[in-house]
Amino acid sequence: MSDKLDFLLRDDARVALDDAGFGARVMRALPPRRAKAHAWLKPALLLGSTVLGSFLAALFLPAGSAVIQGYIDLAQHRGMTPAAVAALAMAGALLISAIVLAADTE
Amino acid sequence: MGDRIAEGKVAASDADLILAVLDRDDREAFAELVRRHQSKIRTVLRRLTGGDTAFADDLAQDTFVLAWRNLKSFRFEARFSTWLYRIAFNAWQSEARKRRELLLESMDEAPAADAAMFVELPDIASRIDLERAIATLSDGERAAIAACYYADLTHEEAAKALGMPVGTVKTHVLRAKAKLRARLNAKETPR
Repeated sequence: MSDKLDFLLRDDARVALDDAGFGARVMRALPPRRAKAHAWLKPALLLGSTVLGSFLAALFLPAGSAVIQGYIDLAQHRGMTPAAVAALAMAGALLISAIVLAADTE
Repeated sequence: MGDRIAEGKVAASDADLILAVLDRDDREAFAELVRRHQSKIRTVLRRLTGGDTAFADDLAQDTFVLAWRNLKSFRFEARFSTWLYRIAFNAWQSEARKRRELLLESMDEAPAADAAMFVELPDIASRIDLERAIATLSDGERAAIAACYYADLTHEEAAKALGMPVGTVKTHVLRAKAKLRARLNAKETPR
């Protein structure tokens, strides 16, 4: 008799329900499509603001400071002076931070 | 061209369709997943809600929308259908608690079936009778029957999906089946 109840339950479970508009209803209830056209905007803004921030920081730094001197050394091909290494390290750190932030926000 | 894409979707595995959704926000792929699983999910929820088809379909819709939102967290170790059932059971449990403040663990205090009830089942028992009989079970018993028979989960999978120990699932199934036999027999036996 246990088999009969099992059969009855499994038979009932096998009955397929007609979609009857259910699928369309679900699709209408989904959140709106992501705006793909603007997917690049956030990373671009982050990277852009990093570059702009670095440029402004360099512009307003007091003349003769180590970072400015480092960029001057690099521009004049004076080799890897301590100031040039510091300037490169700072620029690298800023760039990496921006890339990580940009990747996170995607 | 469109037909060929649609045929491709029909032939694709659940995993392929999920990847298409994750990679390309492909709604057609998700629509195919809904087409494949809607019947089972809605049937399970209809049994869980005691035959309230409108409520069951609302919960089924919530289930698929939640699945869409959380697809990133799907681990490909389990079947997609098992994952969907888990979402469906959670949605039902949360709504059932909200609606009736009933906890899944609470056992039905209806009298347990005795040996006299274990008589031969009628050969022809209508689905409507079965649906009505299932509706009289406690929440826990109904959930266990829905998981083990309608969702076709193992006791272990059902326990995970329902958030209860395996032993409790087995007990619920046994008690539920005893009650169902009793109800169906009472329906058939002339007084």
